[in-house]
Amino acid sequence: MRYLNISQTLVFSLMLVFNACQQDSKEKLPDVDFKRTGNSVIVRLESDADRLNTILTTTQYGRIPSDLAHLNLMTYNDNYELVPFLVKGQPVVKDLPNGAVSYTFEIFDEAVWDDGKPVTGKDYLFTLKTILNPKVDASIAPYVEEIKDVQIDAKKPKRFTVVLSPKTIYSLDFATNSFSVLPEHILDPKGLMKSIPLADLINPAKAEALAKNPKIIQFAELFNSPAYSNDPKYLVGCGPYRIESWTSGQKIVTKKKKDWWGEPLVKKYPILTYYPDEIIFKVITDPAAALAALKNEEIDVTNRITPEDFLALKKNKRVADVYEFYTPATTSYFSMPINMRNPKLSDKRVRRALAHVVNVDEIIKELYLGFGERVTSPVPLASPDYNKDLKPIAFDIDKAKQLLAEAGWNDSNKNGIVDKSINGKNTELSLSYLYTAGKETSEQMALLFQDNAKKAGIDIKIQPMEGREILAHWSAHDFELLSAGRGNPTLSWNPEQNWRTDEDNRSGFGNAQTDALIDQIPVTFDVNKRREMYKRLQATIYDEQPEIFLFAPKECIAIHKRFSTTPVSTSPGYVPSEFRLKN
Amino acid sequence: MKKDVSRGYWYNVWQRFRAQRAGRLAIRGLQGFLLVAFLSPFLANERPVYAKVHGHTFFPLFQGILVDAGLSSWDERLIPAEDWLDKTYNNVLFTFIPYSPSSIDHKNLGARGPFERQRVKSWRYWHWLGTDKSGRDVAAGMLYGTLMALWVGLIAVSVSLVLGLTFGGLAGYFGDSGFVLNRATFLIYLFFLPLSLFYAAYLPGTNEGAGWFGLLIKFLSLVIGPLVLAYLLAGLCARLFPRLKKITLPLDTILMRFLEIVDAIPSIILVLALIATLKQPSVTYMMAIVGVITSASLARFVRAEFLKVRKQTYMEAGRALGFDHLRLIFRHALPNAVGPLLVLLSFSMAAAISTESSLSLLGVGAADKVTWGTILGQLRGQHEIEWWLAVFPGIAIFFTVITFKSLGEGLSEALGEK
Amino acid sequence: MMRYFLKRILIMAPTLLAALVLIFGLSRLVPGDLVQEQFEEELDESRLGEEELLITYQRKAARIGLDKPVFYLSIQPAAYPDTLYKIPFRSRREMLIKLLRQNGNWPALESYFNNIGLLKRALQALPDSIQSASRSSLGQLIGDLQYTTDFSVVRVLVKKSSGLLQKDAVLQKALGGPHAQLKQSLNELIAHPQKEKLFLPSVVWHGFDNQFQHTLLGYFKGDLGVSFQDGRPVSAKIGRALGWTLLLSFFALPIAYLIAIFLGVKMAVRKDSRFDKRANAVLFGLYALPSFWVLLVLLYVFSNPDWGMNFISITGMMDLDENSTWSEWLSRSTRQLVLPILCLIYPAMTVLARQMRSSMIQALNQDFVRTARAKGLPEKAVIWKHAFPNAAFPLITFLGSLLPDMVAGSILVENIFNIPGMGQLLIDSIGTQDWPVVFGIILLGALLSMVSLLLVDLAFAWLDPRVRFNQVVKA
Repeated sequence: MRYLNISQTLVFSLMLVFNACQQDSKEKLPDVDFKRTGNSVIVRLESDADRLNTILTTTQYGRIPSDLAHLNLMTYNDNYELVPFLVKGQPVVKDLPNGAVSYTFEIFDEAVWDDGKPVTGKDYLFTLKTILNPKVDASIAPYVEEIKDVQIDAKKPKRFTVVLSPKTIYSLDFATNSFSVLPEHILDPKGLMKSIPLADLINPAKAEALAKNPKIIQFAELFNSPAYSNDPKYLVGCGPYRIESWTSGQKIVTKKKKDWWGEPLVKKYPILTYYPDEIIFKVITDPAAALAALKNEEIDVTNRITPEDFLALKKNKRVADVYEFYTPATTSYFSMPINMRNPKLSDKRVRRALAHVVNVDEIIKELYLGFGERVTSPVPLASPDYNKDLKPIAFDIDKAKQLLAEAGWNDSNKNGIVDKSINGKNTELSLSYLYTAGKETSEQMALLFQDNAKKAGIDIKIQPMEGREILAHWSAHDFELLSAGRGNPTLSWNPEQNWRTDEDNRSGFGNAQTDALIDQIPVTFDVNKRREMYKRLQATIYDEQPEIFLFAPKECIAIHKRFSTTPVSTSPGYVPSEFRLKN
Repeated sequence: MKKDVSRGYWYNVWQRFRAQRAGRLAIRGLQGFLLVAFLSPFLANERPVYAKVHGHTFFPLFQGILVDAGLSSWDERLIPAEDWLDKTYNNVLFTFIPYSPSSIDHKNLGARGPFERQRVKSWRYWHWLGTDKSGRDVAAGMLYGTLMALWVGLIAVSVSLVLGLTFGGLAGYFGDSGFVLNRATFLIYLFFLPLSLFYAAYLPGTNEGAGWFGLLIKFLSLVIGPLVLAYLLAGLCARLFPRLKKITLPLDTILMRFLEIVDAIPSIILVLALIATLKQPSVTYMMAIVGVITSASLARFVRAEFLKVRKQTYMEAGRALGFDHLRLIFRHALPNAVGPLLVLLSFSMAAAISTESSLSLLGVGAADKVTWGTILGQLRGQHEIEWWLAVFPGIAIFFTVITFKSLGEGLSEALGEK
Repeated sequence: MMRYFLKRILIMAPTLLAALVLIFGLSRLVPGDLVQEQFEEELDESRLGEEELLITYQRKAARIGLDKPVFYLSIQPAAYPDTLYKIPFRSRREMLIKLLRQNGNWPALESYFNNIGLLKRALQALPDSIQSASRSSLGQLIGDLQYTTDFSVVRVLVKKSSGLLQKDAVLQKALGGPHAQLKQSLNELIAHPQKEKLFLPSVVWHGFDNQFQHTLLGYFKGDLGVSFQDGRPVSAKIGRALGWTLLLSFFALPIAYLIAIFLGVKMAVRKDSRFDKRANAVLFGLYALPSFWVLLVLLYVFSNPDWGMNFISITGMMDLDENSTWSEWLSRSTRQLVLPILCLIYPAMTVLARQMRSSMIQALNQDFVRTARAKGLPEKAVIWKHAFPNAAFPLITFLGSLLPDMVAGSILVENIFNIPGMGQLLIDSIGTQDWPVVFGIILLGALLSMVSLLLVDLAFAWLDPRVRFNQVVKA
């Protein structure tokens, strides 16, 4: 599911503006005495950052703070278009033979590191090599492997060309938005990576030899060392903020640089706008503690408030005076994958009957207190590619019974459960349903499902299981039904991994037509055509129901009233650097 | 206290037990506990006791037992069978609480309190103790939880009893010097015992396709087989070479060293680590693990008791008379340790029940069954508290724990330990 | 005295080692594939072909040291390969084991398994331009084959795939070779089962370059390793957490003892009075009251600002602002720590007080106390100078068993009150399978409990010379 720009820059990429009921009053300061004032934002993190090294971090808790210190070449703007971030203007695109493509960029003349040295194409190349270093644990390595060459202009080191192959709709994103540019002279003062050509790093045949290269090992040891992940000295970038300190388990302090080079450019490039002088990330793992902190006005923003608490907070006058509440839709969704390989479930009608006995509206209303929106496909709801023509499958027990009867399932032995003869053996429609042990809503969902299915004569055996064990069953195709939450870090959806027949296709969906569609999408450069293809694919998935698509939960966020901002649909739902102090 | 010598030892203990306050409390508590536990399916059930549908009379509660066992089937008029609360009846009689612990009241989801507004047809369907977050009746859950508490406690206690008695008993009975065997026997067992263990560990996967009967045959031949063989061989050796050197196995020291290792790791950490190894967490497995861990202290206790008994004159006499070990253990050593053991077991029972609740509260293990702990556990990580989810299970746990603890106290008093 | 001390420590070392082996073994039983979980993004199947995937897996396993055998040796059926641990992905290892247990012929199985991989690679290498229904079905078939553990199903699947190839000339041309190989290896496998090898035990020696040895050597050097989760040194993580846990017990233990002693002695002195009876009943009640429940109730009552009783704050437990004064910090942390400490005190206190009472009653009945009274000593002196020191013995033994209870208690307390101590760290680390941290905590826990047992022994030896020299104390 994570394919494109793997949420690296999602903090900056304001992808969708939620202007739902934005009243004018939100722009004015209310007439209340705030305990918290000033242009410093305190953000609650639900978990401590793992590392603050932008390349090595694997969690959003590390990514959100570290991204404040760095810039990518390009990023997404409000209209979901890639726009220049560290480079002047859109790149010069050249189609090369063999389906390759090249982009030529020029970094801002003003762009400098903190010590005054210019940011150049060499730094870009160095970052790329670091990611590709076989001994460095860069999680994005697979994403940049399509970059085949980087040519730096001999006269003007700020000018450089990136060659990618094959050319797809993702190419520009891979080249510009999948990683931030790191300072070579600070992170690799001895020039260890300099002598290693990029061509060697992307050549799988040389991987073995490279892994033994002492320079590679030496640099990787340096780069993987704790200092490079938590010492502010090495966490510098050309971005607007500097990471001042990280007290593990407690807080991360970032301060806006004085006289940042990007400041004068803001007028021409509004994407470089950053408001707060200081952003402090406070680690509060316990949800109850976070709420107490909110009530005591100790933090400015928190997400992941449970719907119950959210409603209670809204009713609490003291809190409602001080905080504004937002509920943007998220890019993740809940679903129940079905194993189509199972003879009991290979009939489309049975799967659709199952979809009819899940009362999604009840789940949203009762378990999520209305903070969810029904979905009918794996595409993020807020994406323009989402197929709005597909209507949610309604909760309808009679319809389910009818579908089952059509598929040959009847209660012939009168025990309350429908049955059918499969391969000469009378089989009851009894299905095991795996859900995450210890997760309350997951369990409640299972219970509701079981109870409703019972009324249609389907016996659901609910089985709590450790999350990783469910994952193992799922990926080994050893399941009948299970409960899953899937997340898309961005609004873009790549169907290749989960829906192509020869990939990690866990439900067993697909045929030649869908495969062809999936292969065509990345090389269809016309937006409208592509959108139509996305929608066609969604319609097929909807018709087959390899998963019962349930709903996309809404993010529940509280933000201090002295700031004005617009929430986004990508996690965590807000962009702290966009918090503008009201007058 | 009046002693009635003619009625025997246990009669006197019972009299003394009954005479104390703790004892009386324990008896009352236990009676109530067991009564509720065993009657819970008949006190709270969504299947009506008696129902008249389309002019026909049914007894779904009792018929359901047969249907679940696959011995009977529902009548056409009752199908779909499992939506009892939505059916229309000519006449119907529900149990005291017309809900099963797992039946969901879709109209009262999301935890309704007993005094809050509930959407029910009539007072007959009122949730007297409220509903939990999934719309399940708390009263039904509490009743069923009593049965689960009994189950949970029994599992933990019986596992720890079996292990503790075996290892503690062996160590205590034989001590460091009592376990004497000849060298050939030792070597034979040294070879065959690991072999049997090896098959026990690797056997389960090799029976793909074979039914339980095949598994049984394999188990008998591969796990028990080597032991039988070893026994026969050892007997043969003893017959053939009666003059072989004897060696003494210091069973006591071996056990104590092993217990030291287990003791070195705080038991709660061990429990948590063991639970993490479960692929499919369930209350039963979880409690079996707790039982295994607590068996260490039980083994220590049994060993101490047996050591005491071992020194008694009647045991010496028994040995001198040439009674065999099994007879000495089961006829003499064990009966003398029963009293103190009962005290320990009732304390373990209390501890097991409260351990289950605290683990459920932490969210460790799994909620595959409704227990008091899982009702409480719904409050984990929450800010707004639903008091009925906290108070009722809390009280139930308190009374159960106090019952078993006073049982232990009363027994130990009655046995004259203090 | 010194010799006794040394002897105890010498016994401790092997015990610790054995405990470590035990936990190490346990950690390997935990389901899930650590490498796959740690490097989920790198091992993305949609981005990597079959071949790259395997190489990446091995590389990543090597990074966290999981590419080595677990222990020095393993005991397994002779049919099992001795390099099983080298096969990437736990799910594949398990699937292979399942097949092997039905067949027993490892070399044939290995070649069958490799041939599935080869066929998959060949299929993935086909250009995107070739699109056909049979290609898609074949893709699914191979995907299924990689996870099928039932030979009858395997045969059906392979037969189906032959059918697909026969119908499609293009596929036949590109995949005919690998497919024929796969078919042949499957036939070979089915034709030559070696089931007898499954029942033959064998011991495989893996050598010293194994995971256990590496962990152990690290411990000897004082290096607890680094956390899987965030790459920080385990010792740093534990150190910070330990501070909080010790702070809690530091207050809780002495207070529990003090209250218990005074209450217990008073009850014993006024035995059978109304005070004694009432206190006894209350203690018994407290003793049965589950502490986690008390915790919950207290927390909700005292931390809710809506009820106006929020003088206990559960937030910012770790927040020591650099600009706040020391006294501010103290007042704040007392507010935060009062309830957790209270919850640690009361279960320990009830047990201790009851013990104190019964041992004090015994002591008061002894001859020397009566003598002291007869001498006309003041009652206070009789109680505290003569009876109490004798009655205090059992309390010292209790220290040894109280410490583990405190650990258990602190796990609950820390998780409910959100204190970043050892208990919370432990639960988190077990949940995320951060084994280096779990081992570190266990090692520390073991050390602590052994040291406390040692201290108890020493205190006894010091107080009671009978124990000191010749009698070996059996634990």
